[in-house]
Amino acid sequence: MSTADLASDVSRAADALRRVTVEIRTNRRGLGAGVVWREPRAIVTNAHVVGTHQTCAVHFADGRTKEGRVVRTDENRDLALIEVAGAGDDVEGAVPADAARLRPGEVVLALGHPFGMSGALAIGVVHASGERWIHADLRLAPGFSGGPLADAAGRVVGINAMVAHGLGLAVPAAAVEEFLRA
Amino acid sequence: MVSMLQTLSDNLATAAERVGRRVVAIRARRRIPSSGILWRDGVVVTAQHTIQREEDITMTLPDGTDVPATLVGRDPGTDLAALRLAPTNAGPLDVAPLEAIRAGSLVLALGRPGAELTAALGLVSAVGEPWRTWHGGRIDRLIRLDIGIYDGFSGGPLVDAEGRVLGVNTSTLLRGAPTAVPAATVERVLGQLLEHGHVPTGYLGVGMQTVALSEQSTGLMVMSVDPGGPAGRGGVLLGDVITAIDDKAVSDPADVLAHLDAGQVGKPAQLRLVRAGQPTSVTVTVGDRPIAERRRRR
Repeated sequence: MSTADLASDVSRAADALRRVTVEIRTNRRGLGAGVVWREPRAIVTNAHVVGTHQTCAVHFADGRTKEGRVVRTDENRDLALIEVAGAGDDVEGAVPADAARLRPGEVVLALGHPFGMSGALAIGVVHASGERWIHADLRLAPGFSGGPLADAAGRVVGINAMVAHGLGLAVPAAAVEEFLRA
Repeated sequence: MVSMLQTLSDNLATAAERVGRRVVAIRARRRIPSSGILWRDGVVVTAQHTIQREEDITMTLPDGTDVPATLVGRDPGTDLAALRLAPTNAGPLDVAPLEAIRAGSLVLALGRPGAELTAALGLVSAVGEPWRTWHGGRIDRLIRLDIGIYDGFSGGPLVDAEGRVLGVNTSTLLRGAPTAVPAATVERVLGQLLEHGHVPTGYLGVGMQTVALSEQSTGLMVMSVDPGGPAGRGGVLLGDVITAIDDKAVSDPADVLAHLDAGQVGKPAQLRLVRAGQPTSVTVTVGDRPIAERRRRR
């Protein structure tokens, strides 16, 4: 095994994450990311990405742009559920994994659209994994909000929500599922 | 198929877990606890600057139990401190040799700023020569790190991908930039702290300033003398210009400090002087820097 293998693993993982990540625009300036969740099938983002808007433009990885309706938000968890008519089973959904099993030092990947740059990857490690937040040592920027935080196997462990003291904070997958089923 | 990325991830997490069993939280300051490493059974090493009180120190062990600890000693020069706790049957720490610290290596900085272990990933960005810190501490290698500094960084271990401890992290020796004191330095300083409670430092008891003697040569003019100090008792006078110690030319106070290592304490040192324009020499017995002097340099 060589570092070239590692690099191709990382780019493969990034490609897989790009397929389940969407871009969300509420107006010309607002831009965030979202994740197509597999079960229950839904698009998840941060509440702060959609703000008070009731609709948003959802840009899929396959190039389609559709109008999304903000179904529900949870300000406390910073989560929003978006419904897109006609975006059903033909769109790949993210496979979630329980963040409670994350270990400090584990590699994590984040995908987002910082400064309007589509599908950018950030890589780092788990700093600490708590019930409320996953703390990740990786460099996030505005535009990563609402996007996926994934483990080395490409499973989505959380939704990136904010940066605090230089650490990326993500909402754990279990909390996302709880929100989706509520 | 398990990808190399997953293997790397597993290795890093396993390294963190393994060394994490030796990382403790230390409560010796307000707000957030600092990190420490169970370096030997019953002995924790940490970053000296995080110990802000010397009484009522408690620790949280990796298994979650809180135990009292006492300060053995501290060395502001290397920013290291040692604390004692009741033995826990800890085996030897897996420490990497100095040569294992290489620029470009992936490293983890572990901490325990509370009950939970934390990790940050980065690189050794440069490995330099042995160096002397602003506070006069001798460090076996200058280790520059490209790594994030979060709560609990200082006092925690720098760990390689194999789970070996490379050193003790600190954010204060390089003006806020992350660095680590190599394990070899920690071993040496820890030995002195356990034996003496401090790191003995050679002391002459003079204040000096660089002066030009001629166009080619400089020396150190004695601006103050501690009358009871080694130089004062040895006959050094105000206004003397020191040109060499043990035949080694000195032109900067740092040259003198460099010569006054722990090993010199109690030994004679020959000072070559220019007194009233005439060369002369005196022999003094190097002392151990008194505690008040050490505090001032902290």
